[in-house]
Amino acid sequence: MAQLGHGALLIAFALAIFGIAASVFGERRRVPELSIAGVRAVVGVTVLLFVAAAVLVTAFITHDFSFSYVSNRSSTDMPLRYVVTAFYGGQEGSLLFWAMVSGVLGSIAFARNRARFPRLVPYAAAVFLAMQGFFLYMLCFVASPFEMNAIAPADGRGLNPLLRDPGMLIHPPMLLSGYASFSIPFSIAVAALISGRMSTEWLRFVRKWALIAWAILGTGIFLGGWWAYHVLGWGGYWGWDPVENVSLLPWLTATAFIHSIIVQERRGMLKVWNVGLLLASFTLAIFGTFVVRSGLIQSVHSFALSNIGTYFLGFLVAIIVLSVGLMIWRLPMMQSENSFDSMLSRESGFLLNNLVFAGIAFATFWGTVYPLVSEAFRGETMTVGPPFYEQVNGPLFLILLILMGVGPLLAWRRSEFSTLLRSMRVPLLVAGIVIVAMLALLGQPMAAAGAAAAVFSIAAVGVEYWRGAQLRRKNSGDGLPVAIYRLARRDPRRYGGYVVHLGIAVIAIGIIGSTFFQTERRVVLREGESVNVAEYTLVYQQFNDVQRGDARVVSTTIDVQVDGDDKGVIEAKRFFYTGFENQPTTQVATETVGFDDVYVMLTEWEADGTANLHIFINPLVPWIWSGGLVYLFGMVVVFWPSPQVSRLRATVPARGKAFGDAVS
Amino acid sequence: MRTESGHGPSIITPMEARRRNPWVNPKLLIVGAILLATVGFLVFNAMGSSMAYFQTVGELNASGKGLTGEQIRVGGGVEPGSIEERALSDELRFTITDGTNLLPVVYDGVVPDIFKEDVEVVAEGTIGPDGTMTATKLLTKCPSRFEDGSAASK
Repeated sequence: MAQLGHGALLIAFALAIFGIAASVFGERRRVPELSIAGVRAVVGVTVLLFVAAAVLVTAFITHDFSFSYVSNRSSTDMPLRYVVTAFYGGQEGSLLFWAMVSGVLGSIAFARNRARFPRLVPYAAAVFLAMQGFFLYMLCFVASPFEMNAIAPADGRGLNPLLRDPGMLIHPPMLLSGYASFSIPFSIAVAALISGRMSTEWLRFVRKWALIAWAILGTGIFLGGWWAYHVLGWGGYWGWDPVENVSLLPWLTATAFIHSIIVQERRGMLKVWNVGLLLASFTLAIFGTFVVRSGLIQSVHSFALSNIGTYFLGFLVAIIVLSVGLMIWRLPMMQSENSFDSMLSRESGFLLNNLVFAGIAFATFWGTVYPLVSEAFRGETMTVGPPFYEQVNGPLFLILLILMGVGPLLAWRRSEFSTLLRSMRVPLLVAGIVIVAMLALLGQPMAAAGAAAAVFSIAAVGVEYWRGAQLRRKNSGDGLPVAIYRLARRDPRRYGGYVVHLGIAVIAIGIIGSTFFQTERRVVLREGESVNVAEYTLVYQQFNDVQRGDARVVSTTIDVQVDGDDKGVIEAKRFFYTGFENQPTTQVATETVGFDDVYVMLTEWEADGTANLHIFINPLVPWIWSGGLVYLFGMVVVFWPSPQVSRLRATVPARGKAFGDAVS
Repeated sequence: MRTESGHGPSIITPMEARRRNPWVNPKLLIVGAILLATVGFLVFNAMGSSMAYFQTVGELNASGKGLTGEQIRVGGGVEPGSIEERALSDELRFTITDGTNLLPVVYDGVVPDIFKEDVEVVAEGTIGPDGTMTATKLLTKCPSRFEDGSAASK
């Protein structure tokens, strides 16, 4: 079995090298057969990766503990779904998973577009295969998932308890997929630079795949927050830890890209900047992987550290040298076709948005690497904590929220201030009411400003939809729901993008609520005792300590009451998994009451049931999760196939707002 | 610069004019500069208030840092036998060590799951005149056996 898996990886490695050669020669010598072979090599490598993965998964399911990867990460008493999770739960498996995901996406991207972009795809395939080759080399010679145990143990060690959670079934693979998927737009961008084919056609190609990568990474980050909130028990969802920061970095640059690419499509501007953002996004994804794997920066996240950090450093350096070199070489090809006509224009709005995103990315990067910088230049390691990021990024995100509302209301090239003001009447009015009400009722000027900005941009989305729908109704006589549906179908990129904006604004409201108005209490209670936190009364009802299947479970049941009304009984649990008794995990008790999350973690206890409870009242956190669903729905609208429109758009001159702007 | 060539408002711009047309609009440049200055100011400002030294116990003793009450983060192992017995409502008292040097720590907060003797910890807080650290944050580094794709422990 192991030989089959290892063999598949070796063949895949050889095939990747062949594919690189075939693609490059095929393109240089104009031998289409070779170029096609190159794309087929991408598909072939992917199939072989699946064979290797199938071998590994089979080994997990059949509990074949002669595989050391299997015996180190699973045991016979684990539920099946976690046995499968264990597949990507380790270093080697996660590399395999990465290569697989990018393989699938690469196969789709290159096989489907080879005929449309015959000059571009061969180079993209070659670049892509070179990266797959790197991963395959690692999998074959450095971190093989098919190492065997000299003597197969009777049972495995089991999976790390933190991974035994439904959130873990989906968060790490999503985040890894996000990182991996950036290799597609990167390959396309590098191919465009190498081939010098930088006219408008590659833009749609690269934009689509950048959007896909961006959506996957965003979902992965979001799920990470959701998981942390429900499992880690510290009352929050984002801690500005280095490992979290490095996953945010490529997302920030990619978000900037999907906005500024619209300016390039419409106006032929910002070419260098856009290519730079694309290359930077993938570079940052690899940087993130390198930081995580090398243990270079102190983090509360712990990973198996190994020598693969060094290899990733080499890979990172190669990518940076290649990117910078190509950019400099092709600089003359990336002349701007237009200039900014006016401060008050859609393109200026996009540019500002990009500068703010770049600012956030820079600040986050700076804070993350500061320990290294200070060590190198001052000889002392200095760190910055969450307050740094909150103080810097908070105001910058506020600017973004406002821009998110104003941007879509700006016209291309030039807007009249009076026209803009007129279209902003309703949003401004609503925002004004919110800011006054919040200041009067709650104080907290920053929170009030943030909430007003979020409401402002929600209202702006409403205005855009309303305007578009009214226009349709006038022309076609459709009812309002039909008009909105047709509107979104007609231009999914733009109107789906607005839905994404809506989701972000709702998330922002949730973040503001839970950041500024969180209540925290630590109490020691005996069974039957109760405590008042904010307007809630928490009654500690019962203590349990039982052995269940693969774990000992300690739990406390708590009744949540408001003014004597029962709002539900919740259970805060701790798990001591067999073999990992010194590493208990948590299940936080949460109950959503109105706008608040009542959030209880059992921290310590005594045999008689006396329990130390960490209680949070987290206002508006459920809004974050609902906002996430809106965001996902927006992505569905964006990607929902719409025939014709994309073709149409290419011929529409760069003016007006009748046709697709995009995810703006 | 937009009307410098006189072609600003027209949609079609002759090639030669296009080349001379820099994309930078001076007003935009000013706004951009203001924005960058804002970022710079925010970063500089926040650095001052949230920076903390990260040191081992030995480095701490040698440098004399923390004596003036600034925030520091100290990394080290939990000295065996140093964790004091306590009731649930009491604060946690223990000693961090790098093998030779010792630093007593008082911590009132949530004790991390895997906190015990010999575990690597990072304590953040200030050092009092008696040489005891009052920690506001206590993080544990997970044991080497920990291995995963992307998990955390706060």
